[in-house]
Amino acid sequence: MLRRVVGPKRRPDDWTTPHERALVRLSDRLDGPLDPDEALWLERHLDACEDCSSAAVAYQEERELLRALPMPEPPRDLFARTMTAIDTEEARRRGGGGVAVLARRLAPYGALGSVLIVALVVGATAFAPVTNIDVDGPGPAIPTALATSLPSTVPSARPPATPEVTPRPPAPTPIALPDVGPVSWARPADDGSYAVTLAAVGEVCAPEAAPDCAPIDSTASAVVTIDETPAQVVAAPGGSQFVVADATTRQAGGSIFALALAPTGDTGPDPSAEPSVSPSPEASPSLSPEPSIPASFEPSPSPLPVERLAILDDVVLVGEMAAYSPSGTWFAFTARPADGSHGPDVYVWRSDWTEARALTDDHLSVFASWLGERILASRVDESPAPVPSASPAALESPATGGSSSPSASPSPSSEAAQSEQRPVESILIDPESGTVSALPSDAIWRPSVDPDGRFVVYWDGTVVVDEDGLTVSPAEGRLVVARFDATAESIVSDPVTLVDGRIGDWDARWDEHGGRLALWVADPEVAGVGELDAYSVDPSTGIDLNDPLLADVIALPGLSIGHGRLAWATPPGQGGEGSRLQVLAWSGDDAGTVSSDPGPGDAPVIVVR
Amino acid sequence: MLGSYPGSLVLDRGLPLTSAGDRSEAARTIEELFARHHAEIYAYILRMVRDREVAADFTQDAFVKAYRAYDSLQEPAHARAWLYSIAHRVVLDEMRRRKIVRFIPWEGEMRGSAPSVEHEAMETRLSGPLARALDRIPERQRAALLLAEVHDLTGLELAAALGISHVAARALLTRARESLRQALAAEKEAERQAEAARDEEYRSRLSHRRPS
Repeated sequence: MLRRVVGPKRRPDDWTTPHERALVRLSDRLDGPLDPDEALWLERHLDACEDCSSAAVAYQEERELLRALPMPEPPRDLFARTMTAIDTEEARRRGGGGVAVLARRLAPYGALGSVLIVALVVGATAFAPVTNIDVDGPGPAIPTALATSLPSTVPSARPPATPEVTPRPPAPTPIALPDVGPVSWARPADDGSYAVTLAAVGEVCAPEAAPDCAPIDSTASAVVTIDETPAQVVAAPGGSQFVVADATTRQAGGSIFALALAPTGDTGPDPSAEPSVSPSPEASPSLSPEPSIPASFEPSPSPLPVERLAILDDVVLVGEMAAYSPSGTWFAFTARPADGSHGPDVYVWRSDWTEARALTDDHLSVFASWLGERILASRVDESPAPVPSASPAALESPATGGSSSPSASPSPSSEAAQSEQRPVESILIDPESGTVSALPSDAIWRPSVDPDGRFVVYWDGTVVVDEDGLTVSPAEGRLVVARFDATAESIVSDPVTLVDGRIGDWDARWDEHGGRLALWVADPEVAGVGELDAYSVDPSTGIDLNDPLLADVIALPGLSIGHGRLAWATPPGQGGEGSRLQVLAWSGDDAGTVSSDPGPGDAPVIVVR
Repeated sequence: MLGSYPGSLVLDRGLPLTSAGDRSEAARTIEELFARHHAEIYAYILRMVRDREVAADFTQDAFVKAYRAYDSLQEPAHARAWLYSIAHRVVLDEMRRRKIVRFIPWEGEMRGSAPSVEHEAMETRLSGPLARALDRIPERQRAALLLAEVHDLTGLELAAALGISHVAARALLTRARESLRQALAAEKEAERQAEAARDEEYRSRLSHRRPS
């Protein structure tokens, strides 16, 4: 599922312009003597080029400035505290900490599909409280507030693995949050089907007491039953319709289908009805964001009758971004054909259509987010790669075109061109008219704008397309958040880094007021899990990234945010248990967490988005 | 090899599950390495994170991680680059985890770099145009420049510390030098304008005082 991100392969001896070559050589020259031919070329160029010769002076000045930086004095207690930390670590290891270390390594990655690892973690939990064990690694699903308040999570102050769970304090008074919307998730049933369950959040507990909070009541019967294992389930605003991608859409290719609930009180759909799915969006189009799940609901005694409509078959669903438009009229997603004939395109479906339609045909476009009822999409720039794969300079003098220390420089590779970093652009598509306009800002990949159009999360950098042209991955750059001007449709501040360096997939979503941001970032090495952060957005001050609501929580892909709560799923294997639905809920100044009972076995629960 | 970028979201994935046998040797070695290199490691981290408290925490983290990853130190001669590589990972990973010095103001200065509290608290000697310019360039470029120019890591050492190939390290350094040049030019220009504004104000005050 997770693509391997290929590193930059732009060769050091590919030049767009002689000035670029000169700047590279000026830099190389500072680190070691240049090849004589190249040095001669550089001297000639500098004589002719004023800008490059001023760069030569500037580089030299930089060096002198940097070397003149004063050497700071480390704090006096640094030695003592570091040695204490190491001694504590050593004591922990000697004192049977081996089990804890093993559990720590395995627990967060437990077993998406690996029974062996679950078994190991279960074994380990018998000796150590795995759920609270790690603090400096990726960590278990503990909100930051918890991490700061639980003494057992202080890295080196933790005593050598206590072989049993510390008795917990008496149950706290749960906090009732009546305004918080319900949560919905799909959990595996015994017969291999998945039951979509809807439950009120009701009461939550302060994070440090969350394990004492009664689990979310999931005893209500399924709202809908899905026969196949779903990869993603997305609920329409209003909750009477779902789009489901079955698990085979992850890789081999599968079906994306819609399930429409019969209106409550109805006797059920007319079996002879047209395959168009009700309710018709035109019937009650509402432009204000509605709850993605009804704000109040009556648990129904049995699954409601549903109509099922395949909206796209034999495709691989790309990414985690698929979403209904705020009014619920449209459903947009990214897919590519299962036969591997070409790369991804943006698709849209309206609930009175019999199938989804492709909005792009360049085969290197992805859906990013909704901006009102318009689609924000990103595509790989089709114009020729900025760097020709065989530049005259490289062809003419391969010996001198390389590095200043040729022994360490790899020979130019012919594959380099295929995984060239590619520039990107983002576009706005009106699904009604098909009108396309480009966002003015360059180098924006997958912008996710909040509903009020004030902020945007996006990849600021380049992408690479894999060799068969099927997947597009971030290459060099960073995931950032910046202020957005919805009227000008452009970014109006310097971006601030959320994640620097190589990343794979991510999913950034805002609640319906743009008051909270949830960001899931795929683990670059372990497929199918990632880390979840959440922030609040203050209308008067902005986003304080120093004060996350949730930080570095291990989570499965798929999150639902809005109506006072953020829901995600923990991977199976956390603490040796099955996968759970986890909820962070807030109302005014009150906030707390609550979770569902763990699901059976190692099948993950699927959050309904 | 390309594609395994060590500064990833997850630390300690490759933690060797060592037996309890030779740990004291590891602890002793790390203690020696600390004595020899902690000042420069601390200096590097401080220059990256620009906050003394955080730098001290990260230095401690780096040496604890070095202790844990002791088995991955194959060649004592490379210990210094190895320590830098661990410190570099700590900085990049932990900066992301702790989200330090990152705040989007809702109002106020949007373009350009506003001095943060940490920045103000920096040694005044350091907080000239150079420090502000360093702040403006991407973290990995800043790291490459500092390691190469200030901490004298060369060629393969630099690549090892950054956890990237030799070619990629050189390319990063090239970009860093150019980024810094532009950032310094921007800082100088900003300073020049501020000075011009002051001069202007001064002149206008003078002209007001002048008896008519």
